[in-house]
Amino acid sequence: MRKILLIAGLFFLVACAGRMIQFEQYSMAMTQKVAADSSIYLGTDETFQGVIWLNPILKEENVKIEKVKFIENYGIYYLCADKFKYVWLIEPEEDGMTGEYKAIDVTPDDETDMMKDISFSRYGSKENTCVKFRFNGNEIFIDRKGNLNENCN
Amino acid sequence: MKIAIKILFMSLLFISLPLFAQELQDVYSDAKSALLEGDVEGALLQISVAHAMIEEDPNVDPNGNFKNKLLPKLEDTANKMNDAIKALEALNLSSQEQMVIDSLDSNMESVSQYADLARDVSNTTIAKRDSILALYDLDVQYAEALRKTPVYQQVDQFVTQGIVDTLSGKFTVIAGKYTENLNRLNENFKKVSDELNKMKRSASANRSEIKKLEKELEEVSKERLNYMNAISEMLKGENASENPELNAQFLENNVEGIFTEMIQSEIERIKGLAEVDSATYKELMRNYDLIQEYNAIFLKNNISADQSELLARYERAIRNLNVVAEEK
Repeated sequence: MRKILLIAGLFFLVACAGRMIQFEQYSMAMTQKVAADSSIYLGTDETFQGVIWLNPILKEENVKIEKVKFIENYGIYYLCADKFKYVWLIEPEEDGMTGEYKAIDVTPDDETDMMKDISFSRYGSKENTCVKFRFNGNEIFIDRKGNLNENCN
Repeated sequence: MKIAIKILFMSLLFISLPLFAQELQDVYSDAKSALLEGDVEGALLQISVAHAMIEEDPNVDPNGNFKNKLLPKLEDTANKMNDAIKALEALNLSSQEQMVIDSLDSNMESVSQYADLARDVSNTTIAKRDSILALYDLDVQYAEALRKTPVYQQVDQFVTQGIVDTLSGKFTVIAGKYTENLNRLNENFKKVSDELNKMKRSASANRSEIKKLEKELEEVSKERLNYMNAISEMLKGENASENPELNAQFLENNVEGIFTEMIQSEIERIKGLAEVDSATYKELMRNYDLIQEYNAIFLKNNISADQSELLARYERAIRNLNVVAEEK
């Protein structure tokens, strides 16, 4: 009886598992103009993929900016601008209508700093790609969990 | 030498790379921008820098997106553009060689031949240039970039201005000779015409002598028209403002004076004809049409004032002629 239940359970698990296809992400860093309503386009021209409204982030940063830089890595957007204090992670929710956002302080020891000469790029291997963030002549790696590292391991 | 400079440049670039720490994406963007400006060599150089960056640290290209997709595509476009540039260079050279006229033949047929040659070279160069663009089948933005390359501009300049300049240079030399000949022919015409009038007025007027002089006058008239035709050929299809040298030559040689003298003396000759057969009448009308055409060309090129009034008198003189049946 136990054997039958075990086999039935295995069948049930296989039937419930979603079907998978291989997927790779080729995101490039983008620089986008911030519109008056705080929105930015994800993508350009006909190939844009959506819009993000940055009001809460701009409010927290409280600086006047014209453009932001961002990159997508494993479905999470990493966003920053010159004069910002933080790098912002925006993770889309399952509803496809909202995104959870959080600030990463890449210079925790310095409360007054403002970032400049910033750039994003993806770095690492296919299986473990970090976001390499450059600012103020330094560089730091952000892993897929949002942790800061000196290297991408 | 060129390769040595390239190697030196690449070495310097690699030494300086860690200092500037350029992102791979920036190098790729620079290569693309260079290509969009028609700077194929610059683009290929940036592409090789990008490849070297990936080779040095494959982590900068996690999925091989740059190495396997973006860079090969851009490199392929750059190579296509390079081939198209070489084809355009060859075309530019061959077109210019076709327009090299070694000896300057000053006969009137040569003028038509030169003008025809110019038209042919211009048309075939444009057609070949367009077929090169079509052959390499570049994306619109890169086809547009190809038009910014120096060689494309050179081909363009050659078909729009270079050919005209080559012809003008040749024609300016001939133009002096032609106007000299026209002056001589006008004098000759006047001399024969005076002789003919004198003969007609004399008591010993001989019909066969008169016929002979009329024939001689007709021959001079034809030759004169041929020269006028050659001059108009030189100007046909050319823009006065683009050929100041040639126009100055005609103005200096008083083509206007020669032209009006020719029309006036033609009117006198026609008035002097007692009667003409229908073939001669048709020929005179043909000549009238030609002279009208020359008037339009000279006027367009600012070489002569409008001679419409004189031409109206010319036409009236022809229409007043007594046309008789042809002699058998």
